[in-house]
Amino acid sequence: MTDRSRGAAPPLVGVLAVHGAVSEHVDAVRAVGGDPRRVGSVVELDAVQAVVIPGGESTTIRLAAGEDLLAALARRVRDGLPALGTCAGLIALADHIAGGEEPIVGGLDVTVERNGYGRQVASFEAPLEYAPGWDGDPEPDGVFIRAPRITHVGDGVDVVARCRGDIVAVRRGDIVGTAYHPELTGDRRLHAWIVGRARAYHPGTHA
Amino acid sequence: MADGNGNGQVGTPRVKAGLAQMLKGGVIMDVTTPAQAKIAEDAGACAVMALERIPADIRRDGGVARMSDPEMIRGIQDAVTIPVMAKCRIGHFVEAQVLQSLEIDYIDESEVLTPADEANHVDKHGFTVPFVCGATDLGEALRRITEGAAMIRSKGEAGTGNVVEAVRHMRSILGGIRRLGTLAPEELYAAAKELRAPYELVAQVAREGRLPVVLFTAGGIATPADAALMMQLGAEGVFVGSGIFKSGDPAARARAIVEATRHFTDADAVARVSAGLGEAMVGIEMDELTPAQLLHTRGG
Repeated sequence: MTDRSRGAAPPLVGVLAVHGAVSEHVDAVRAVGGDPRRVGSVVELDAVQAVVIPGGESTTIRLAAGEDLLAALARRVRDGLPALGTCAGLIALADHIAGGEEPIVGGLDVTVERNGYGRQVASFEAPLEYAPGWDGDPEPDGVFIRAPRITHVGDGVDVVARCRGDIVAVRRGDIVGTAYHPELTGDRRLHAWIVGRARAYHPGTHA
Repeated sequence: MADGNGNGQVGTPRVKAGLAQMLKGGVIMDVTTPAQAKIAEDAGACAVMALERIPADIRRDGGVARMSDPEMIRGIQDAVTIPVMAKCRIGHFVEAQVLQSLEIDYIDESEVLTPADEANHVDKHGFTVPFVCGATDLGEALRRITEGAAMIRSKGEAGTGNVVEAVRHMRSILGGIRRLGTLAPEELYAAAKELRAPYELVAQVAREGRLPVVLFTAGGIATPADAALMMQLGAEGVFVGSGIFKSGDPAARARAIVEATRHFTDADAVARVSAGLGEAMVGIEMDELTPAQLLHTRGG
């Protein structure tokens, strides 16, 4: 911990390694100066300064991660661990899943609808419009694959990006969720953000 | 690319290959009814393959095996939220068009069904729905990718409960990739000729040390240890066909294969989930099959 607090070593960013696009997030975190760690157990989760929940099938992630790891994840995210969830990762971080299903991890006061844009034939790419302050490549494309739709955003949740008028990325504090897959494009601003938050993260000292 | 639903570009290579990337580390299970599909989803399957007869029954019944009835496919689509795949015959582009019309999430152009065209596979570039295709070696994998496959699986020998052919095919594909990496640049032209695949794709694989699409394994996986074996050999995920719903306790076996695939390097975990599963499907030795009964030699 002392090495990291001196700011010399890159921050440890966990990638939930249960299933899905894990290696893509590992590569993206490394590309922006983070030290990616695959997280498949509570012990591995304890070691990291931020966590990325990748895309995949959210029902599979819920079952394959197991109750212990999900409970530990929910506790750490609630206690301020910076978190980025993409696609199924957004579903995992949502406080409300349409249909009344229990939250998987929770932390973001949004309602999401699974496959809200339709089946794979409707999966699409379209330009994103980021909110001011999220600088990066001009007009990056969002890749939406059987994507969840954000149907309601709670108080205190900020819009990070829109696509064709829909809210497709949101933030509350140190939690960001996206309906699209920045790990499949060159769009690294959200990975840069999570690495930055990981660098600033000190357990127990967050606001 | 058509503007599918006013939402942007549909059916792009990134979107098609991307769905397979989201399935990595998961298990795709053959199911024949909505009830089986639900058992698979509840066990943690990342997708299901909807088909009328599982390969072991196709093998037993004989006759021509075709695309499934759209009505049964719709029933399975309504039962689960995970992706639903379905098979078309090799080269049968109209079956593929029908499956796209049904909004299937992935089409498996499969040697398990009776081939419709002995010379040509489906031109997969023209479809919005992505395709997965089987391969026995690197050249076959690269030819399928050239035709537009967005995901590759080993063929193995479906419906046998015998993993030996899947092992042979995974070693052949991955060994072929490793060998390409050892070649001098000027040797890649001859390699492309031997592989019967385009030079640009061969050079890309040699450079990157991997296929440009996700590689799963299929064909004879029947136990948790089989799944973990294939993952340790380098598969990025597992198709299980007859192995689950031909076994004594399908729900328990499905869950165990999901767990073994997730914890494939952890022998303690594989041992734990393998205990007390009841009977595995009865296996078939390869030399009990005549050349005409072999499925993996179909399409090349």
